[in-house]
Amino acid sequence: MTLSRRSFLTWSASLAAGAGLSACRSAGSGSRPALDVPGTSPAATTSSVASSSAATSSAISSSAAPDTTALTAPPSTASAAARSTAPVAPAVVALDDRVLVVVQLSGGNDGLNTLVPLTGRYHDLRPTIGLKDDALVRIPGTDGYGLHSSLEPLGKLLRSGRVATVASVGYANPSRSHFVALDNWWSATPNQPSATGWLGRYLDLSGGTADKPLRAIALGSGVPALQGGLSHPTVVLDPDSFSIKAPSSSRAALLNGWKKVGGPSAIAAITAVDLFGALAPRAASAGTDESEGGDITRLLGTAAELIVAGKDTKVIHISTTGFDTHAGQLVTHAALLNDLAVGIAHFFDRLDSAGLGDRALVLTTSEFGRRAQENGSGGTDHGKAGVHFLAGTGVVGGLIGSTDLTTLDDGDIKPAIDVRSLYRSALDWLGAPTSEVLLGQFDDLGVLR
Amino acid sequence: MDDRTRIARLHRRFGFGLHAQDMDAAFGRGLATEADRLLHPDAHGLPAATDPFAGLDLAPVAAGVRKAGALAGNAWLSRMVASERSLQERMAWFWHGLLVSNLAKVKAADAMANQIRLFWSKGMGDLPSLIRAITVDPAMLVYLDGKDSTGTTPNENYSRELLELFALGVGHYTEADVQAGAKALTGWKVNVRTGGSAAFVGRAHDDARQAYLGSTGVHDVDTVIEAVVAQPSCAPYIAGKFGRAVLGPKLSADAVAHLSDAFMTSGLKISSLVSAAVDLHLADVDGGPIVIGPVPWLVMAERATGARLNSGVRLTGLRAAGQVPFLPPNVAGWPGGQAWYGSATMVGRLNLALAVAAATPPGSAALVAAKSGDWAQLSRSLGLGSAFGSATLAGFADVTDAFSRLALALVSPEFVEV
Repeated sequence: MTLSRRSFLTWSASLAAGAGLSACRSAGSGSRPALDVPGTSPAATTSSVASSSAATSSAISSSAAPDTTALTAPPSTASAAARSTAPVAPAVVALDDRVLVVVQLSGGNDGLNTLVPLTGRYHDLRPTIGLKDDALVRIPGTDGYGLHSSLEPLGKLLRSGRVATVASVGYANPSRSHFVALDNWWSATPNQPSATGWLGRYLDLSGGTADKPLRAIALGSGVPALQGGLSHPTVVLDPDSFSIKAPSSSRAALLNGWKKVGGPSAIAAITAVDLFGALAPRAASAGTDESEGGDITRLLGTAAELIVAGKDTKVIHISTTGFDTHAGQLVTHAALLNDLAVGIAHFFDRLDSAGLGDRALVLTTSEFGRRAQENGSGGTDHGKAGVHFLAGTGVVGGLIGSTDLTTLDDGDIKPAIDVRSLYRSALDWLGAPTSEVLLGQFDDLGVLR
Repeated sequence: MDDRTRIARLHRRFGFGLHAQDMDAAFGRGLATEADRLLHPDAHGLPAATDPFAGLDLAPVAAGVRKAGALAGNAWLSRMVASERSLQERMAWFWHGLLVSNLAKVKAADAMANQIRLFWSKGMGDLPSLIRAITVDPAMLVYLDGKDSTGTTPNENYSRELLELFALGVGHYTEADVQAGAKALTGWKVNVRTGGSAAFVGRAHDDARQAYLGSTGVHDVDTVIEAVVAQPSCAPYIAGKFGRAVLGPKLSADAVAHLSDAFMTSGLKISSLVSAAVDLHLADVDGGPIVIGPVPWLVMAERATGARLNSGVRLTGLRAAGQVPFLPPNVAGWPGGQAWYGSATMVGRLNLALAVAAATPPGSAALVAAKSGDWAQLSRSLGLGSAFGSATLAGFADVTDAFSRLALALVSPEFVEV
């Protein structure tokens, strides 16, 4: 098997040097604009971050086993030519069978303690909540950074190259307000009002109509990202309590009557109740053992069953909360990231066991990252750029972008990769008319196989 | 619009609807009297509600927060159902959805209960005292991290939400204001073991004079609140939030300006804002249909039918429907509007409606009307102003038992919206 790997260093440098936060200028012809232009001045920053941390990189824990497979050949062996001519595709999954699973980490996930740069500067900024270098999880093929130790359950996926970590994601003129920032992420029209969300536009443009409520399913909470002009998602807050408790003798008549009384919303609800009622039960979980995860794991478990059930669902959006860690964040954040990692790992285990592991792409979102400098409460205040994951066999594993702690913006990490580039990856994978959905063309992260 | 519709909507918009036993009398008394009874319950000799939290063990025992929260949440719901001063309850609910705290983070049901007591006592008073009180309210100091904010390392959480969500709105402050406000508000600590009492600790406070919202001498909670409520954006912000909540989400800018002027002229007396909104209602000013959230909707259903659900059914049902007292989804409160037409809320409401129908006393007017198929009477007995529409009537035709009919009536758009 011919393997192609990108040089992450060159790559991140060119991203920083390139269009960055503005719409890509000349990417029109295809999905692979030139990403490998030699870095200019921002590249110097990137490499200095990387090289200054190289000395400590050996301290990364062996908890993530050393790379043993060919997939994790050193990035320097890759070349631009190789990757453009020899894309590695696992089993090709028909576009119609692909399901995007978005996991929203509401509150603003602390990117700096998710993807930790191995620099002294990091520890200066995080004297009490800084994570020890030797406890971090290694990203195969990447030096200079490590992932929070609570993400260790992702180890298998990381080592098999199924997780891409994207650093410094945001948008121009970022807001530190939860709700303004969420609007910007949901609409993907930063600082411009929009009646539709980015996923809603995708659903509209890919054949969604009001009578197909199962094409988009929101778990945990409804979300404006899914709102289209025509498409309306199914919203299920808690799958475990989502059933109609009517006496069996009167149930059929009641539901007939309810369809008329409640109209399309009731009809959609009944359709969803039927689907959820037919799902295979998730493995029982007491929810107390760390290895069993928590709410995120539970909802991702439901998402896996929905994919196994194989309806015409294209997007599953999972809302999770608790990432607004202003105080005492060490314990809270560790539990949340553990839940996320266990959830993603179990999710793919379940799909793999059904032979459907190639069908899903998981994408994380969050309204912002957090302030680089910790506050006095053992927490962090609202910031700007954040760190995100794309996971699935459709992506090339590794690190994209970098975290620059040398030039902060009012104490925050500056966005260097536009959120719409992140979305572009997901939309391209779905086979969407990406530039129509995003209302413009944005840099390709080159993360898809 | 006829007076019957105006009376029905007055009670459903500014209160939690009428009690089954008071329905006929209220429509008989007429619109002006009903408005006056809502606004001035003392003058009409309406009994004050008792404190539903008194005597409950709500202390924050580590293992018992959920249980204590359920106890307190159900007690509050029971008060909303029973109260003859519905506007006061409606205001406490409004403030709970605007000046938000959440039990899941506060982890002390007694402190949350105290916050609701604050909304009962000051929810119709003057806005500056309410905002000052909530700023140093123990549950709020925990929820938005004020208790951990010190002079050397201020925490911005409360300072930001005070300006963005509680008092002014986005666009009416700067990041520098957020940071200056955070410094001026430092030094407040909470002792959770003493029922969540707050205390000011001088050594944890930064008393430096801050430039804040255009003032220069701001250095503590009093000067922060003084500066906030003096902002020209404050009255319109609160008037807009309240006006859209009780008169409709599409309330015109003119109507909001009218409310805001009345509010400002009164020196930010909340009772004046409420009176001005009632006057607009009497003048048929309407901001379009309001989708009633699961909590006020359930309260209305219990009041109108005479059913009383037990704590477990109420809280389990409300959780599935997406709205539980003390547990708003985030610091912006419940989203409302079309969000209440999501599948989970639809199904949650149907299940609760079935439970209400099953718990409705056999002789109640609503159940009798449902049984006999007298749809006009069913609408009246549920406190609605006008008759059911054709879609709802078509749905009634599919079911034959009185409980299913009553449940469908409760989930009909006629009852869910106002």
